[in-house]
Amino acid sequence: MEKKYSVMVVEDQAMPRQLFETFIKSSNRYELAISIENASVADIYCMNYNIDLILMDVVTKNGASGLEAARKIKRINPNIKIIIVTSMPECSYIDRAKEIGIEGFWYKEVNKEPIITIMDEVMSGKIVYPSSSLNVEMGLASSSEFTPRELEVLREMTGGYTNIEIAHKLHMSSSTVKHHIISMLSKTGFRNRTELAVRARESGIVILDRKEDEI
Amino acid sequence: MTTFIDASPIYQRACLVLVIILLIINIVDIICSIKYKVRIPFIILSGLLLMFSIFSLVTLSNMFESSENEELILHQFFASMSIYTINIIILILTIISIIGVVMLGIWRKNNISPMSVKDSLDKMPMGICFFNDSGLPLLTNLKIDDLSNELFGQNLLTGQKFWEQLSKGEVNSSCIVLQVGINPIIKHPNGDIISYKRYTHNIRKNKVYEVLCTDISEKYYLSISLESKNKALREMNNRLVEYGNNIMTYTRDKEVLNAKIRIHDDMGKLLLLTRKQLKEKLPAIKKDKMLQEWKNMMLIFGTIQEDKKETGIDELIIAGKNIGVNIFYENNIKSNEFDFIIFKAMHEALINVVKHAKGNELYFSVNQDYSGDVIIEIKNNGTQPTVEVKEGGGLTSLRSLVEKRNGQMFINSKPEFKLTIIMKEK
Repeated sequence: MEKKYSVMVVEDQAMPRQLFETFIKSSNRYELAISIENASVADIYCMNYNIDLILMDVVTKNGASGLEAARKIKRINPNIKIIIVTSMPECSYIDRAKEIGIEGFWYKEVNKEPIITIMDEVMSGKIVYPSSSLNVEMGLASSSEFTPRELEVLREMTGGYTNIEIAHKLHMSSSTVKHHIISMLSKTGFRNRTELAVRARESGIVILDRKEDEI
Repeated sequence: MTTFIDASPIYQRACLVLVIILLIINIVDIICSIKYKVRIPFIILSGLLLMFSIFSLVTLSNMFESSENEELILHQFFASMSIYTINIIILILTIISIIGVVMLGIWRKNNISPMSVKDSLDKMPMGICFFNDSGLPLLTNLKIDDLSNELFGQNLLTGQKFWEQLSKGEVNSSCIVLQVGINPIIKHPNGDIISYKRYTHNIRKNKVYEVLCTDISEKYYLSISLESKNKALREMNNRLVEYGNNIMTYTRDKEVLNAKIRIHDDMGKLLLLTRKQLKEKLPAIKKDKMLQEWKNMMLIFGTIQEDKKETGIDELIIAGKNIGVNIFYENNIKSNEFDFIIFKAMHEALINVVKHAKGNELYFSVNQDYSGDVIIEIKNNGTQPTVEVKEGGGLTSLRSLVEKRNGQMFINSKPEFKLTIIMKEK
């Protein structure tokens, strides 16, 4: 009998978690080691369980970040393969995942291929990423119409920061910040920045990490 | 030599007329000089010319009229003067007078008369007054008298007193004082907001004070409406931030509610179907389908979990147990302000006890001492370190987190490993 790969599922929403568990249990190549809801304890479990593969959500219980957990785990056990699974279209996740060295990235809703296929490809040594982040409708525009800098400004806006604070955080002048906001407003057709920020937050196209609390 | 007496009557009359003209010019010159307040030397010169002209006129006319008064020395002097001398004198006088008039014209073109200054000041919408060291007003305008009447019930009489009372805010009750000091700001009965400023000048070695009163009503009312708009925006911002913080919870609650509604509806349908089956036998196909639905429903019931309200710390303790470490956690403080630090410290300690100390028990206590400081102490039952513990990446980042919040962290290696964190309650 072939050795089964030991998988850890890190997912706080019951439905996708149970879905993954079902897929893993019904496969003869994988076995479920442990299923947890909070990414901040993922590295603890890795210490005792011989994990080969982790299916990690980005936003887990209590806001714990799956990307940060993945970064910690990769530092200690770089051999553990990780697949990020998320429903958030937040555009920077893909880049951050690549930077950490994560092997796979999968969008929950848009499942052109089932998760099992991705798992197989990753375990065979491939790196699997979607070609671009999810497109989300923002008023009259689609999120792919925004430039990276505009998305950065939009992310800070959802945190309720003023233009001056945003300019300081992103090392821009406040007139540049205003310029980006005006550009986004004209693309989307929204009447004011509050509408823009609310829609951005709702759709999940940008998600602000409260990094002050992170080490 | 032809003297004046000998000269022809036409010539004598011509001289007389010329001198009269010069006299008139000089009189006009003098009057204008005094009116325009030109420089004193100029006035003196004009004065002298005038006197000379008058004198010449008187003398000439006397000589002309009665040639008999030869006793007067001056008459003799003039009478004996040659015509040419008289011509030259008159010519010089004419030239000087013309120059005088021209200079006056130039001066007038390059300078404003005091009347013009006062006139234009009176038409200005701002109040202005100049006064000297002793408070005597040197120049005021109509507007500042109006303002003074509203402030003190009288025209501006003493500059010094005006300013002193103003800067202390001692004004009529019909005016509202918004600011005192070096830049008093007063709201006048008609709603105008006036800003008062005093300037000091040195003019011809004398100290002159200037008080300028500007109407800043528009700016003031704009700034008030701006402040109220900003307040509304700040409140909107707070709502946005709260929304952002809670959206995860809201979305999840919405999804859970939808799922519950779905299950409730499905259950309802199934019950109705079952009732129908019990009352009247359904065809076999439908009966099988109904049984299958029941099986599915049982599966769903089997997987429904109550949403556990666990904190991160609880999960950490569960995780610890799962990997074989028993965490004895004792928290005797009421606030959860430090839960985040507790989590990070416990996380570090857990990794530590497994990797380095190879122990299986962790003792974690949180207490508050009499001075209000919160003390976190962590010990374990693994092998105690033989040398001083070197701070690795995890401990260093924990330290920077603690110190960023003005806390202190101590690591004891002997006799046993103990991690202590002291935090001050906000």
